[in-house]
Amino acid sequence: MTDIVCNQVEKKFRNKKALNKLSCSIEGEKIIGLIGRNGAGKSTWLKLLAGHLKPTDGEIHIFGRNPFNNLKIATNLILIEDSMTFPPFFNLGELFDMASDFYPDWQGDLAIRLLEYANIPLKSFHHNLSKGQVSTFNLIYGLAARCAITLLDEPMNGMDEGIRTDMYRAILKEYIAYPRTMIISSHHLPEIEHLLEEILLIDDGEVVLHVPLEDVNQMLVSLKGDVNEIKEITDYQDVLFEKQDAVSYEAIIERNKINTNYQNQTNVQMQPVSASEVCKLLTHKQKGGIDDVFKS
Amino acid sequence: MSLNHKTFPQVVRVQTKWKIKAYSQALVPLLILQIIMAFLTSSGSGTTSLMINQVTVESYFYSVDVFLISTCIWAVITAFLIQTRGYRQTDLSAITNRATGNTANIISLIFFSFIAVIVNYMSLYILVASIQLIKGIDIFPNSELFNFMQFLVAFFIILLAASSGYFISSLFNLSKILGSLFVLVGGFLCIRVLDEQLLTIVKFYFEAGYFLFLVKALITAALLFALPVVFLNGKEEVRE
Repeated sequence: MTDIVCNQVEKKFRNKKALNKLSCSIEGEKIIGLIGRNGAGKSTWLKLLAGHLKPTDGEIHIFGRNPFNNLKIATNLILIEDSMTFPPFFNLGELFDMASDFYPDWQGDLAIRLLEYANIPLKSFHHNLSKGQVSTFNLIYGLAARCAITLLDEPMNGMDEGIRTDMYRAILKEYIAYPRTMIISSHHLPEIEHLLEEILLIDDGEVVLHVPLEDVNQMLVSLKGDVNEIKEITDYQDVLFEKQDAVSYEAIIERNKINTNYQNQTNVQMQPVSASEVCKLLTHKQKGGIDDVFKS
Repeated sequence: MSLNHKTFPQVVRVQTKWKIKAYSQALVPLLILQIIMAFLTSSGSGTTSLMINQVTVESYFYSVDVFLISTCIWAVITAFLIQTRGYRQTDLSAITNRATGNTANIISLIFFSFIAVIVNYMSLYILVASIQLIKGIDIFPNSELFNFMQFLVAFFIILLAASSGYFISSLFNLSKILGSLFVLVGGFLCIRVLDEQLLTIVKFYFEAGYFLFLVKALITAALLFALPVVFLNGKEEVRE
C-alpha cells in the first residue's frame, strides 16, 4: 500500500492559496527532503499530513485513511516543528514519561541518552530552554517516538554547528535501527543531502520535483565559455540561469536539452550542478542573480 | 512496517491521566480563594440578634454557600482556560484528535469539580473548628454535619458552573464573534432583566426538590459538555 497519497490538494487561508493542486505519492520507508523557499507551502503540507489542517480541496490519504482528526494516523505519525508546546508544569523527564504512555514504540532510554549527550538537564522545563535546546529536545522527542511516519519541519533551527552534525547522525542511526518514512523540511539541502533518498521540491504550493537525489544531481549542467558557442550548444533554448561579464558567459540548462552535435567539439566548460543549486534554480523567478537587482 | 493501534478509550484514559496531573495546579487558586472566603465569613454568612429581657442572644450562621459561590467562579474560569489556545496546542504534542482531547478535558473537569466540593466542605469544617477554638463560640449544627444529598447538590452546582465555562470557551474557540455575542447578550440579560429571568432559572432547577435538581443539572451539564465535542470535532488546530 502507498503510505502517503496527495491528490490535487488545495489549501486556502482566506484568499491566499498556500497549496495549489499538489499531487504526490510516497511509498515505503525512506528519508525524503522537503525543499522549498520561504512561503512555498512546506509547513502547510506537513500540517495537512499530520491531520492538524484539512484541505480546502483534493484528497490526502495516509495508509488509506484521511489523516484529519484521525486517531489511527495520529498514533503512527508525529510532526516535529518549532512551535511545539508541552504542558508547562512538567519537566523534560516527565514529558518523556508522558510520551511513553502515549507512544507504543517509545524509546525512553535512547531519549534520555540523547538528551544527556546534548547537555540538556532532564529536570529543566521546555519553556526555559534556549531556541537551539528546544529544537534538540523536539527532535529527540520525535525520534524516540518511533512513529511509522516522522515529519520534521526545520528540525535544526537554532542548533549550533556541533549539535546539528550530531543530530543528523542521530537521525540516520535511528532510521537504520527502525526504518520509517521520514520527511525532513529544510532550507539547507547541502546539510541533509547525505541522508536523503528522494527530494520533494515545492514551489508556490505545487510539487515541482519529486525524484531520487541522484537524478537531481544529474539534472542540470553549467556551461562556461564563449557566449555564441554556448547559445549553439543550448540550441538557443531558454536557460534557467545566465550570467555574463566582460570575458565570459555562464548558463545553466537541463542536461537533456544540450545539442549533442556540439558537445564534444567545443571549448565550453561543462560542470554538473549540485542538487541544492538545482532546487534554487527551479524555484527562481528570474534568470539572473541578485546582481541584476542592482543593475540600473 | 507494522502500524500501531490505539482505541478511543485508551487515548482518552492516558490523556485524562496527564491532563489531571498538568492541571492540578489549578487547585492552588481554589485553596487561596477558600482561605480568603474563610476570612471574609469568619463572623458568619448571616447573623441574627435576639433580646429577651436583659439578655441578648446573637446567632451567627455558617454554611457552605459562600464557599460554593467562590468555587463556582473558580470552576467557570478554570473550565474556560482549559479550552484556550495554549492548552489546546499542548494536546498536539502527543496522540490526540479533537474528540479525545475534549473528552479528556471534560473528565478532568468532572474530577476537579469533585475535588472542589470536598475542598468546600473541608473549608467549612476548618472554619467552624477554628471559630470554636479561637473565639470560643459554641456551634450547633442545624442539620447533619454531612448530608450526602446536599454534597451531591453542591457537586452538581459546581459541575454546572464548569460546564458553562467550558461551553462559553468552546464558543470562543469556534468563533470569537460568536463567543463575544453570547457573553454580551448573557451579560445584558443578567444586568437588565436579572431579577425576573434569573429567578425563573433558579426556580426551574430547584422547585421540585433535590432529586429533580440532580436530574436537571445532569442533563444540562451533559448538554453543555457534549455540544463542544460535537461542534469542535471538525475544527482545525495548529500550533502557532
